[in-house]
Amino acid sequence: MQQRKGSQATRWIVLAVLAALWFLPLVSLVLFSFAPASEVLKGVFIPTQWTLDNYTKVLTETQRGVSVPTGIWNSTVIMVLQVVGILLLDVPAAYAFARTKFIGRNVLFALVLLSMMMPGILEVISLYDLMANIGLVNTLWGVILPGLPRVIGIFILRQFFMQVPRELDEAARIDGATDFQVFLKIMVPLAMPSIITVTVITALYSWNNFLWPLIVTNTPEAMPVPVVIAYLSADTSAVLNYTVILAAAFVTSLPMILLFLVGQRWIVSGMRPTSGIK
Amino acid sequence: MSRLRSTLFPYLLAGPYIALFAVFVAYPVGRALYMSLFDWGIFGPNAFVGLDNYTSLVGDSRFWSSFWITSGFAAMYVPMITVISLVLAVMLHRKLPGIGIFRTAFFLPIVINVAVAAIAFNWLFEPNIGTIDKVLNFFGLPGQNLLQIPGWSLFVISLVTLWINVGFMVIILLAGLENIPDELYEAARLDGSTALQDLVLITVPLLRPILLIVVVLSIVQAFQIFGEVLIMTQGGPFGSTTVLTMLLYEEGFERFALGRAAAIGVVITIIIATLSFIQFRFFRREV
Repeated sequence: MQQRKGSQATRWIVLAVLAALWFLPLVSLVLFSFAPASEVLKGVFIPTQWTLDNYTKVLTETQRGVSVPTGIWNSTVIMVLQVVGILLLDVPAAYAFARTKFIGRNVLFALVLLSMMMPGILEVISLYDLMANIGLVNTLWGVILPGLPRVIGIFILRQFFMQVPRELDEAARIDGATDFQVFLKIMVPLAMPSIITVTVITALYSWNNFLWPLIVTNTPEAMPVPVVIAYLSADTSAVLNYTVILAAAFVTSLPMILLFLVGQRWIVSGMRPTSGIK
Repeated sequence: MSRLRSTLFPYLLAGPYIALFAVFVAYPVGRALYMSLFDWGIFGPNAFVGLDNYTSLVGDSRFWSSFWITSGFAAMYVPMITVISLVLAVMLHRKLPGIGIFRTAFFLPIVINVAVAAIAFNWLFEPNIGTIDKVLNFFGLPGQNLLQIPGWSLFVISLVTLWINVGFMVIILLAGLENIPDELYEAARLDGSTALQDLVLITVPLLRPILLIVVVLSIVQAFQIFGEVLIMTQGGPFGSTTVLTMLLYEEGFERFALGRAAAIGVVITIIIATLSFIQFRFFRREV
């Protein structure tokens, strides 16, 4: 569509200013994560001296008894197990909700959707109590298990399975395929784009989730990355080692920034409202 | 045999998910309601107290203070994110040189966790050494310690929340914009409409269902705001950022009044559900 004269230039300038503002917090964080602590107290926008010391400290020493590499390892384990677990649970369940009939299907699906609207804070007290009773506080399983029945994957995959034409499984059944074969050999390969979307947004959620991991982990050995960062930032002498905290914040965000650069279109497609909302 | 297998098949597929949902979602919700009826300490229930946890909230000035702080936060955050994400979506909708970088700027914070975002903003707003104060000093103005000023600190927290979430809202709105036919704008332009008229007379009315979702989601976010507050202000200065979730956190994990904390959680849920219901009920009809 042809655009108004001048409107494009205005649009470009407004966007450029806002985009610069939106980049500012991270750019400032990254710049000073490469600066010696002494630079912080100077009135400079961009450091005048550069160093990798902050990163060496973050990756080799413990800060306040917390080790960033341990946090990265914990987050990696949590992410891998949650992604695998959620795919193994969600793909079959979404297929069942979309294309099979069973008693209680609609009621169950309504409950699942309803839980999406429920604030996470409602559960933290009782879930903590439950986890304490079964001895999972301060364990990685304590972080992982409550994240498995997430709804978004069910929602995205069900949307996909619902729009696969019926003729497809009817044809396969005439050729003698069983229910399970139809699901595994026909439906799962077809769903691959949606499965990748769910994988990417689950990885994001796992790595970045804050509230529940904060509640269920309070020993350094069990903390995932966001809890480690929050713990470090609570340091009362923060100004002294500000640059180290900035380096920890950046290095732990790097995997997700890379995922964003590679998988932006899946992140976007996972967040777009599908036909459910239109 | 094969019929039996067909009947059982859906249960086999959905069973594991439903089981985990029951244990880690449905049961904790039920248990939260149950716990809220007890004087419940760190070692378990002390006494059944009925609705006392709720009635005592009504008479508790700390609860009302948190309620109004959270409402104030919503009153700043919801209009801000709705307007900014709408403007951004409209500007990002059509092709433009450099649009990829612009989109990246607003979408990138989606992958940054709240702890890192809070650190980044703490660093920006740090007195004297933060970028904001350096800019002020550069123009000969005195540095401002905004995070230490009641009122301003809540505003800074709303900026962080905006920074994190605007990309998600823009994605939702962009999907809505794609459904508005270009012909409408072309016809309007033949009639000599301005860009502002296009926005107010075509875009906003047609995006109304999606805008409603943006408003409802941002209200839900506003009443759940937690991580930013915990990291940036811990509820201060002088309790001026002690939002409802912070109050719950303090009651539950600092005072170990678990029954009371559970009751606060239920109240937050009721507030969110009521506000969402009102929105959908009164605004969807008119679409």
